[in-house]
Amino acid sequence: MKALILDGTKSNNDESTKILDLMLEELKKLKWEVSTIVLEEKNIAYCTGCFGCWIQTPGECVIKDYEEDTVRKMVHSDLIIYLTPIMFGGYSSILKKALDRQIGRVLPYFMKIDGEVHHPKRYEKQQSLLSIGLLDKRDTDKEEVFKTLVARNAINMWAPFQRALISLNGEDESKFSNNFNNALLEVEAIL
Amino acid sequence: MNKKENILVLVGSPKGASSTSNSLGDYLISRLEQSGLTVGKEYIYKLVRKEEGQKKLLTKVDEAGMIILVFPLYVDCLPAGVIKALELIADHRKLKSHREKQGFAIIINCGFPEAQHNNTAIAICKIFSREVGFEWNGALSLGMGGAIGSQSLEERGGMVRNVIKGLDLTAQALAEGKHIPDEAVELFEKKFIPISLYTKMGNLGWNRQAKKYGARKKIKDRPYL
Repeated sequence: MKALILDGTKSNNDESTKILDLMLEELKKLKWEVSTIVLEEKNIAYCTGCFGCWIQTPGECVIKDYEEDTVRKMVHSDLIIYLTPIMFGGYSSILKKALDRQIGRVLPYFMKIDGEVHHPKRYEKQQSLLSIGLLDKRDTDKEEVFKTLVARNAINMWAPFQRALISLNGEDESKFSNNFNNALLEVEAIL
Repeated sequence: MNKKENILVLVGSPKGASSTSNSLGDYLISRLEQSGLTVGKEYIYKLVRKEEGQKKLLTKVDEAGMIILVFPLYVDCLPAGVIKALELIADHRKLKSHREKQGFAIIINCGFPEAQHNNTAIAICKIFSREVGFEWNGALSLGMGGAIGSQSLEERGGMVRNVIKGLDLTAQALAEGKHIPDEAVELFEKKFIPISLYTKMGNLGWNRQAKKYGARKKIKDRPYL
């Protein structure tokens, strides 16, 4: 069982470091093989919107930087985990930079899924998605939008399982660990 | 609501001037200018990469009575560069007090035929607006954005007549310091062509474009297996 953590937080943040450690502990307990990419430290350019990953070098971005390793690792994982501060209900720009560049994981064509148009998958195996959003304090608007965003990503990227977990600053660590552990068990159940 | 005379249009597509966002923005700008307003335009991706550009972005935002953000949907939300711009604006505004409430409106387009894909991005922009203390002036949401491309709306002609009408109504309302009217929102969300035709043409279009790069037979490749 392979998990890839995409860490979209800023460095020197005690709260995100604590949450990342808790995640790694739970993953280790359940014997996941884990790879973590601290995105802020990597050279990843912005997507230029050229669609080269669909029509020029299908499945691969035409920009050659660390995103190539990132997408390769995504494809070979069973589970992708986003770690991000919740920015206005969405992801950080650090995380989103990597996500904008991974659309080569689906095909350019259009198809209907449950009455709505999406893109077909490129690879047979698809990855479950857990998204961990960090918030300073309770904000139901941001939490709802974040959960919706993760669910929409899961549809578009064909994730067989998705869950968004919110971690509030200073919240009981065992509560987060339990929720995270339960989500991992649900991912395992469908592998 | 106060009339905002100095308007800043921020184009959030990494494709800059060659984008659907820019075509929509340019049409709106022409109509706002006809109403006697001063309108400036900046391309977000030109500004967010370097410190100098980031400073320019923040100055332009500070000077504007209203900000209109025009951008494409990327992976169910805002493109990374646009999020970066919003993060910069939010951080900057924590440090400053703002006497006059600035207006904020958005125009979003996606390549999917259904405009509803844009809903999460709109919700994010609304929260941003609340958080930084802007006055939310509404959102126009467009599907089938790929059918416009970098051509001007006038060149696109009759197919986009509802988009043009929606922008006319929006320009009029924003010039008067009002919220984007519901009628404009509804006109914008109307489909130019049937979904089945759009997807068929889109699928043929991808094949044609891949052929241009000699990649037609590789379009379903799985390079990382």
